[in-house]
Amino acid sequence: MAIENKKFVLGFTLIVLLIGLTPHILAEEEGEEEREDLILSRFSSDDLKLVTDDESEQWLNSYETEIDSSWDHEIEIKSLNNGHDLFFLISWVDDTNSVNQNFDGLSLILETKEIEKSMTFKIEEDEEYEEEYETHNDTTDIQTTINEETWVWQTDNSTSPDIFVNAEWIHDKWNVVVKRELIVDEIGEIKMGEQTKVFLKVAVWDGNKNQSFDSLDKDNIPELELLVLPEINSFPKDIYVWSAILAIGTGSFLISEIKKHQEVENP
Amino acid sequence: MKESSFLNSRLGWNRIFSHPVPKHANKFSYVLGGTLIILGIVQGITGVMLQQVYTPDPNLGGAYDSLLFITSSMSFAFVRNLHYWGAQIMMAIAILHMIRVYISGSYKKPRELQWLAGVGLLVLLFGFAFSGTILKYDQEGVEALHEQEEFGEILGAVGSFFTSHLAPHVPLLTKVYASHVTVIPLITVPVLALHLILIRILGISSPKSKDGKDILDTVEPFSSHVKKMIIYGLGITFIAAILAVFLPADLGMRGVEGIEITKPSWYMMWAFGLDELSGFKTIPVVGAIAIAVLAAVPIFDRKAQTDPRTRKFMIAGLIVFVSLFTILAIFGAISGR
Repeated sequence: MAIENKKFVLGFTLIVLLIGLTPHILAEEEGEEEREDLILSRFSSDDLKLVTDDESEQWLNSYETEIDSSWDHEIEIKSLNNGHDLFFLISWVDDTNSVNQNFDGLSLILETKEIEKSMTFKIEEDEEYEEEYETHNDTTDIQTTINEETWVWQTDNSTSPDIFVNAEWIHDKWNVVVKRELIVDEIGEIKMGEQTKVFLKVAVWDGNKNQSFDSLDKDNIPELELLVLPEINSFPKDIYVWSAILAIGTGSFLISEIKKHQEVENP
Repeated sequence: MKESSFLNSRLGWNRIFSHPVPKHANKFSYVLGGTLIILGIVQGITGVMLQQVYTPDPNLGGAYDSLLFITSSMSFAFVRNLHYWGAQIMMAIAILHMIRVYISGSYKKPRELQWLAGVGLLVLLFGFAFSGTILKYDQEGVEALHEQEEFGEILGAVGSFFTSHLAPHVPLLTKVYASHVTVIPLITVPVLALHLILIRILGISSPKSKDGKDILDTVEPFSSHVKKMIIYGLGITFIAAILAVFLPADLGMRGVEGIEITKPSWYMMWAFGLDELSGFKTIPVVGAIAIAVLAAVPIFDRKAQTDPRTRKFMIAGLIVFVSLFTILAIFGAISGR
């Protein structure tokens, strides 16, 4: 009876623990802050191609960033790199495809900025202990533009021969894939380094609504930080080795203990 | 050693090493716990060496840059790799040791407290490994630190130790470093001492027959057990050294706050798999339940018998646990991110 009671108490404690912690976890999940001003260009060792299908296997493994940009166009941006080239897939809804007149278009504005960290401190007072201490109040990035490069693609042309593009208008949506060379420390003329960050502005326009690159309000396009990721532990294969060690260990210990008992029973 | 020798007359050396232990205790599966002590000593030595060149500062020129220095120096890179592989192997051996103790029913009366101390040591080992991951302060480290802060927030006031609330002017990384090199070792030493003292007092467990009586084995002196511990411990350290030479420890990109793109180490991958499957951060609840269930094992199984064939429920529980651990870990490795 005493044992049954202990089991009951234990079970009850576990349930209370579970019920008590779950709302905190759910709330934490909802309140989690994620940076939305970032384009993560995932590394891929696959043979990357100018595939426009955003549901293709190539793009399924990429991160997506959604922004409201020029003329309130909702733009989805995905990016991949293979260490040599940088790929972007830029998609937006456009129900008035206009190939022959009033061209639709896309512009990528790459900008590098030198970042300096400026830290401010303030003195806080602990009333309980009547002590003053200095707290790190805020870190501000002071940004100095080093370089800016604007590339424009329209349904009739592209401004740079070094940039490859494949565009498809399907189901009232533009899917444009852009490929440009990536050098480890430089993107074209744009340098990437420890204290140099690359920012990207993406703007699109609908020619049939009298929108164009020339009428673009460039200062009001959201600026996104571009992070070209190296290969990361996206598929840690050592899990198979450790799992096998645990499984084999469990099996062999079990057999060994059973044998030990059998030997005693049948000496 | 002679009864009248210098050390024996002063330390009672023979009383320790001539203590009888059952012969089966010298099998590899029963020496796993002892090899952890040898590996722990190696971890301590390599850890102190790394301490000399590590800066526990999250800012530019701090932790990550000291890791860049360590990986660029052949000798320090080897020390770090050995520290890393030592930790990985320790984790695997600790789990295997726990499994062996579970299968052989060594947690049964009168060794419940010994089992509890073992559970505590396993939790502390996870603490060492987790804080060590944070210290390298690459992308995985930054994300792990964020996880720690979230965990601290969930615990409320109790969790302030894990967050920056307690002293906002001290970087959290510096506090994690302090935990890794002082707080966790300081807790580990007395728990380990309790574990070892109880082994000395209660002896190494022997299998019990169906009627609950000890099945007596021939005995050997404790010195033979220590010899095995040292041989296996050094052998495993040698394997870790070979791995350290040929498979360097990972150092990812410089950490960027606010993104989650990496996956945890293999021993935490089950939690990542569970998170991916459920869509929630499950580790605080599932981790707490797992620790509570492990601690309660001696309450669940109070029969005297140790033969696995007579403990079908307990063995089934173990198989479910190992299967879940493996399946969730593999799922975590191949899914998401």
